Parts: sequence; structure tokens; C-alpha cells
Amino acid sequence: MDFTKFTKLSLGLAIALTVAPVSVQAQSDYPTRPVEMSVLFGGTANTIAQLLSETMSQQLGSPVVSIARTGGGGAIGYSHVQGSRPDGYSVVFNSNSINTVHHMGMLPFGYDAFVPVAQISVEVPVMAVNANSNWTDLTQMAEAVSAEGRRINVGISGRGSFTHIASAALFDAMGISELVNYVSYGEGNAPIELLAGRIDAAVQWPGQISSYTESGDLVAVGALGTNEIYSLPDVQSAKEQGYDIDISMWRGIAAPAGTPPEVVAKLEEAARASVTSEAFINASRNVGFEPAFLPAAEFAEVIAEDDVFYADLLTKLGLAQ
Amino acid sequence: MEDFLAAAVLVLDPLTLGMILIGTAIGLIFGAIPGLTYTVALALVLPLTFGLPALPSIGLLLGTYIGGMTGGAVSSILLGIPGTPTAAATVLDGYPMTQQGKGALALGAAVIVSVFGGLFSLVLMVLSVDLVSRIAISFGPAEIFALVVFGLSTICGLAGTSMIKGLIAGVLGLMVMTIGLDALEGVPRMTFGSVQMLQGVNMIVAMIGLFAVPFIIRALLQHWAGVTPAAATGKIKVQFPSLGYLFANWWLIIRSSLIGTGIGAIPGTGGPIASFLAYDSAKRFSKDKSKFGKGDLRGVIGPETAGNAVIGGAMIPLLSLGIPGDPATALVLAGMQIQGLVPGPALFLNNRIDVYGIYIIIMVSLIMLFFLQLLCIRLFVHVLRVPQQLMAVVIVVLCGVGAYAFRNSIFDIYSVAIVGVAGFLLVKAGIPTTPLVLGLVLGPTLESNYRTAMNLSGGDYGVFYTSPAAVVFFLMALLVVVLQIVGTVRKKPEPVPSVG
Amino acid sequence: MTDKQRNLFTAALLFVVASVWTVITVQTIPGGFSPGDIGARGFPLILGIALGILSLGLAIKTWMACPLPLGVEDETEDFGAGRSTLSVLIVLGHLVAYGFLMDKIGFALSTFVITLSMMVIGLRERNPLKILAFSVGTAFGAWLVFSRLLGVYMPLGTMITFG
Repeated sequence: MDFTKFTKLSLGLAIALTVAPVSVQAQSDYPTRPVEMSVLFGGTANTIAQLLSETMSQQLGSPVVSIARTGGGGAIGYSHVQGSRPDGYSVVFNSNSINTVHHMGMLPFGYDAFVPVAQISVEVPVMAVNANSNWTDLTQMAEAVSAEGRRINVGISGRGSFTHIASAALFDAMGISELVNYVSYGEGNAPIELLAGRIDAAVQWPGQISSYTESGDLVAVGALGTNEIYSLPDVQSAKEQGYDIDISMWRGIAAPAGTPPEVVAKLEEAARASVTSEAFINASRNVGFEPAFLPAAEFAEVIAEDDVFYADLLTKLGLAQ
Repeated sequence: MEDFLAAAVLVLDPLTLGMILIGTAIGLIFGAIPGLTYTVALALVLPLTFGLPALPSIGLLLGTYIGGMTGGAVSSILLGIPGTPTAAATVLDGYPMTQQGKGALALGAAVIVSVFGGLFSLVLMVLSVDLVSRIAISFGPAEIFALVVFGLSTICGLAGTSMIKGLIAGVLGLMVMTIGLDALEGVPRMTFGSVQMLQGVNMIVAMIGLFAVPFIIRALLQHWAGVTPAAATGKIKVQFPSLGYLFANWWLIIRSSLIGTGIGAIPGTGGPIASFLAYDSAKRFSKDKSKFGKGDLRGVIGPETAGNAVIGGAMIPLLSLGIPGDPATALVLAGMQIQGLVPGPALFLNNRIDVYGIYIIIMVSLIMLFFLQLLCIRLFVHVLRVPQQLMAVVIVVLCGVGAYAFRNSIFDIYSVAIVGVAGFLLVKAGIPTTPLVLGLVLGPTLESNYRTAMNLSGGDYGVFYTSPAAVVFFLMALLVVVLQIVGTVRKKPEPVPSVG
Repeated sequence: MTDKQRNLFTAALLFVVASVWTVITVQTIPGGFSPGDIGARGFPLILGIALGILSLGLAIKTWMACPLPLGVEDETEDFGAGRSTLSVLIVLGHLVAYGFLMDKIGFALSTFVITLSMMVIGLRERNPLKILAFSVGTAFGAWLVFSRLLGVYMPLGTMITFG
């Protein structure tokens, strides 16, 4: 056999191999292969996604694989899923970040490039301070800061990040936004900085600080959202304390626009069964997020409302592009 | 003591032991394959822990972490491609040893000292967890910045013949790491409007490129010229350094262990700084420096001891503060949280038995690692039998797998290609690779801590000279630079053929 | 090319890179927002300037004919410019193609195609049996080890799905 013949043969073989297993899958038997769920962040986002994919795999009868596609504040994962075929085999574990990255000009498309499947969880951010500050609630904190007149250092994970936007909205409502210096930390280091007293306050996730509030090193002066927090039951929400603000981090599943409705319905049903399962609820308490299932239609409203809210807030903060 | 015994009973049950063994083995394999790291391994085993009780799942996770940490030395030594960033310093002397047919000895030494480093740091950690976590808290951005500057000062010792070229390499490494979305300000840098570019060049991906791509190119060239070094034949025996040799270098081993534990305890720094500093100190404090970079066993022992002593150090902030130092420990943290063990001060108050359990797990995993390594080295050394040109083809595949698997991103495969070819051309121009790697590894920490420190102080440079710890590190960095300059001036007339 | 010429060429090239980098930095990256903040621009700017100065330093030092050894790993390792360029292009091409193909036709198939091509173009292997055995073996082995045994999630392919 000479060389050219051989190449032709192997090429032919390759083509035969590739074409054979491809068949047009009928949507009724969805899913026939693993469903890929792109996860945009580490930390709790990744943990929830891993838990969810585990239970959803059992519900769907086909593996749901959570794949980390981090970077660009979520832009990398969103653009991957947006660019994949709308057949229900590539979905994204989304969050408020779809609205923030879009309005900050990092992503050329917004939430309407996806069809919502279901909301999965809500994380309520809390404002944490060092116990030595003697601040116990938001009003007292606002008064103390105004009285002192110095700028307080507030830790955020990055400019334009959720923690930044949420803190800015809260301090605006508290009327002390002029007295705040934001310090970017990247991910995860804020509790140490709070403990050491290098920053005065930081928006934190309940799971990050519950150990410290229990040991008495940190105090949660208020929750930014209104949902109940299982791991920090005593923390009052900002709304209860008289500040008109309600910001939480919702997470859910979305598929590329154009995904067939019956496929979305199947995913939605699997998500519902997973989120309401006992295993998922138990794990959520340990990790520090609240399971909060919403069906596709209601989830769509949440996303759309949020989009308006963040567009507004980002413009106000001078972060919108 | 009672709690300790209770914990021992819990760990020594078959399921937990089995999980530690499985974890350690998986970690070892992932670490040993260039491109795959323990971070990828941890992401894969995390879901497996959901159905397990607390200690077995922590056993699985910590085993994977520890196995992966030591596994990195295997491909550093045998192929000259670091399996993990921490093992990058091991390449400097480990790979030349392989080229001289002493790879089995380098591996044997690496196994012994890495287990020793791990155990040493564990003991230190158990004894001093309260103290060290208090010190770790006092390490703010200014102190970490100073430490990273000290780490970067080792470029001087690694620059090879031309200081200016070493500095160029370091600056290039730092430049590469600024590409992408800046996490602190949320602004894109050097992305030219591309969404894909926002993810930037990943450090691990860049390292795969820098080490693996030149290997492939060189293998092709040697194959065409018909000068491929012969593959090993006959029996390859695993060798260990003699006890006498280890005892003669006891201070090197202890010092490296201390470096590793200390640096591991500082959140957000970790392995690579420790191993490079240990390499630098191994070279600096030895009487005969001539063999370093050409296959000196001490150049393997130093970084390997320190790199694994990081394990115990890194556990301190993880357990007592709930602060993960890197993506890998973040996954361990997630696994613990799912089991209801929330790391932080309350863990030591409410779950003492579990904390002891974790100590025992680390010890058991290190001991298992020793025996697993003895078995695995016997298998790994057979890599040396594969003809180099075929190995090059396999490494092309490993580049693809490793680059993709770390962030599940095709973009990273393109990065490997571009960074790798650029790295090869730089070596051709006499620009050394090692300072480039240091720049890559330390760049993001250097920049973000400087900026955060300045932001915290409101633009006052005082933060850098009023903190005693920062001043100490700056002075040490200065000392390294001065010693280097003095040394270079003194032995000027020496036109040696250099080592990049 | 002599060592001196090569050093000068390198210095010139690096100086161009540094200049372009610095200009882009100034034009596209905003400065700091809060007090004392050098912002996202600070580091790239300083690095760009530093590279420029260092490359000038290299040029001057070479020009003054200081004994500056090139520092290539092994002096005997010279395979000629033509061959070197060719091997660089082959490796670059294969890696880029690997990324592209992996996305389109999945991990297993792209590995087969790339190893086959590396054998033929890279190693200039002409024995069809060897080529086929090695590329099928590597592709199958990689698929078995990574996708099956280790459970690493590799792309399945967007154009055709296999594996």
C-alpha cells in the first residue's frame, strides 16, 4: 500500500466513524446524552451547581455535568452557552451576573439571549463588621459613621462585582455613600481583612461568616435581601430596619434562546424535583444558601425586573457602558 | 487526648481508609500527568463525596489534594514538564538528572523528602495552629506584597548568565499575566474587544506551553537530524539517596520544610513561592554551587520538601479561618461545608473530634503516599523507555487535554500554542525560561496586593515601611539582590557556557 | 547570525513590543478610580516601560561588545534556521488545529487526526502500519484514560458528536 492510498483510506475511515453515530435526535426522547451545565463562578455557585447536577442527573436519567467556565465576570460561560446549539444539551447555571456583565459592556448580548428554565436558589448577602466596632445594626452604623466623619473601608470582590453593587445600593439607602472607600480584594479574602480590622465592613455570604458570628468575632448588622437566612436566623433585613432595599443573588438555569419548549419543560421539572428534595435542602443549610425554586415563567419575570434594576443602578454608579 | 482517640477510631475504619487511599492515588495520577493538576482532580471527586459520611469524604478530598501535590514532581523530573506549578522549580535540577540517567534517584529522593516535608508541616501545624492563624491574619496586602517581592528577587539567582535577560524574562512573565479582565477594577486589559480574551492567560496553561512546547519542537528537530537520545533499555531500578546523604543535608531539609510551612500558612501565596525560595536557598547556602542547574540532587530536595510542606501550612488558614488559598483548597472547603463542617473558628469549638480526624487523615494519606509512590515510580520510570519522538506526539495530546481540562476552554489550547512557541523563541534568543515562570506565577498576587494595600492606605506608601514583617521581607529581597551583584562582580572573568 | 546580531535583533524586537504595549495600555486601559489607586493601568504601564528600558539596556550592552554570552541551553543544539522554523510552524499548526478540531469533532476524533498528522508531517513516518497503529492507539488510549477512567470532561464536538 503506498502512502497516498493509505491517507485516503484513513480519511475515509475517519469520516465513516464520525458519521455513523450521528443521528437526529427526536426531542421526545431527550435527553439521550449528557447535559452540560456551564458554571460561571467558583465558591458557592460551583457548590450549588455540583449538588444540583447530582440530583438532576437522577431525575433526568441522563448525566447532568457541571462544567466550570469561569472568567470575565461570567462572560466566558455565557458566551459559550449562547454560542452552542439550542438543543437542551448545553445550559448555563446563571445568576444576576447576566444583567451586570451585559450592562457593563463585557457581553454583547443580554438576558434575552437565553430562555429561563427555573430559579434554583437565593443567597442573601449580609453586611458584616468586626465585633470590636460595636456596630450592631444598620441605623447605629450609619449614625456612628456620619458622626465620626472619616471614610470607612469597605471590602468588595471587585469593582462592578455583585458585592460592590449591593454595598453601594445599601450605603446609598443609609445615606453614607459619600463616606465609603471601596477596597477590591478578589475572591474570598474579606473575612480575614475584617478580622484583622484592615477593612471596616464587607458584604458577605452567610456561609462565609456564620462560623465567625458564632465565635463572636464578626457581627452581621443587616441582611440586604428579605428572604429568611437559615444559618443566620437573628439577622434583620435592611427593609425591616427601615431601608428600602431588597437585593439578593438568585441563581438558576437558562438555555440558549430557541431551545424547544418541551425540552425546557423537562429540565424545569427535573429542577423542581431536585430543589425540593430533602438531600438538596439539607445540603443548602450546610453550605449557606436558600433553595428557592421558581418555574420558568416566574423566573423570567425575576430576570427581567432585575435587568431594569441593575441597568439603573449601574448607570447611577457610573459603571454602565 | 480522649477526643484524639475517638477521632483515630473514626478514621481507622475501612471506608475512610479506603477513601483516603483512592483519593491519594487519584491525586498522584493527576499530578503526575503534565497538564492535569489536583485542581481538576478535586473538581471531579467533589460530587463523589455527596453520598458519603463526613470523614470519608474529607479523606477523599484531602487525599486527592496531597497526592496531587507530590505527583507533580514525577513529570518534572522525567519529562522536564512540571506537573503542577509548585513542581516548576524541581525541573531545574530534576530533569538534567534524568538526562544523565539519574532520574530514578531524583524521583526516589523526591518521594522521601516530600513525605517528610508533609509530615513535618503537619506536626508544626498541630502544635501551632492558634498562633499561626493569628499571624496569618496579621498578614495583610502590604505584607504579602513584600513577600512576593522577596520571591521575585530569586530571579537574580535564576537568571543564568545575563542579569538583564533574566529581568526581561521576569517582566515578560508579569506582562502576560495582566492580560484579560482585571478582577479588581472590572476593566478589560489587552483584550481588543474579544469576549474570549477576557479570561486572560491562565498561569497553569502558560506553564504547559512554556515547558511542553519546546520539548516537542526539540524532539522533532533531533529526530530529523537523527540525534535523538536513545531511550532507556534494560532494567530501570528505583534508587534512593543514602541515609548518609540525607543526614548530611539535614539542615537543607529542615529549612525547606520551614519555608514551605510558613509560606503555606499565608493565604493566597502557596506552593510556587515556597518551592522557588527553597531552591534559591538550597543553592545559595551550599558550598559547591557549580552543579546547580545541571543535575544537583539538592536542587530537587529543596523545592520538593518545601512544596509539600505547604500542605500543612495551607491547612491552617483553611481550617481555622475558612480561607482557601487557591482554587484547589476552595474545593476542599466546599466539600467540608456540604458535610456540615464549616471551617472557621467555630470548627475548633464545636467539632474538635473532626479536626483531630482531619489531622489523622493527613498523616495517613502521607504514609499511604509513600508506599503508593514506591509502587508508582516503578511504573512511571518506564516512560523513559518510550522513544523521545513518540513521546513528543503523546505530549501534544497531553497539552490539549491539560490546557482544555483546567478551565474547559478551547481558548486555552490556543494559548498553549502561542505561549509555547514564544517561549521557545525566547530561549533561542537566550532569554531564560525560569524567571518567566516566576513572573507568571507571582504576577497576579504581586499586582493585586500592591493595589489593595495602596487603596487601603489611601495612597500612603507608609503601609510598606511601617509594617515590620513587610520591612523584613523587603530587606531580605534587597540582600538577595546585593549578594548576587557582589557575587557576579567577584567572579567576572569566567566565560562559562551558560544554562538558560 | 552571530551572538551579537542575535542579541541586537532580540533587543530591537522587544523594544517594539514594549512600545506597542505601552501605547495600547495608555489608550485603552483607564487609570485608578479611588484615592491612592494606580488602577488597572498602573502595572501594565510600568511593565511596558520597564521592558522598553531593559531592551535598550540589552542593546547598549551588546553594542559596547561586553562579553555577553548568548546563553542558549546547548551550543551544539543548532539545527539550522530552516529546520527550526519548520518545526516551530508544525507544532504551532498542530496545536491550533487540535483546539479547533476538538471543539468541532470532539476529543477522541481530533486526537486521532492530530496524532496521525504529527506522525506523518512531524515525524515523517512513512510506514502506514506504524502510523495507523500509533494514532489509533493514542486516540483510544487517551479517550479511555481521560474520558472514561479519570472522568475528565472533554469536548464531544459541536459539528459531529462522537465519544
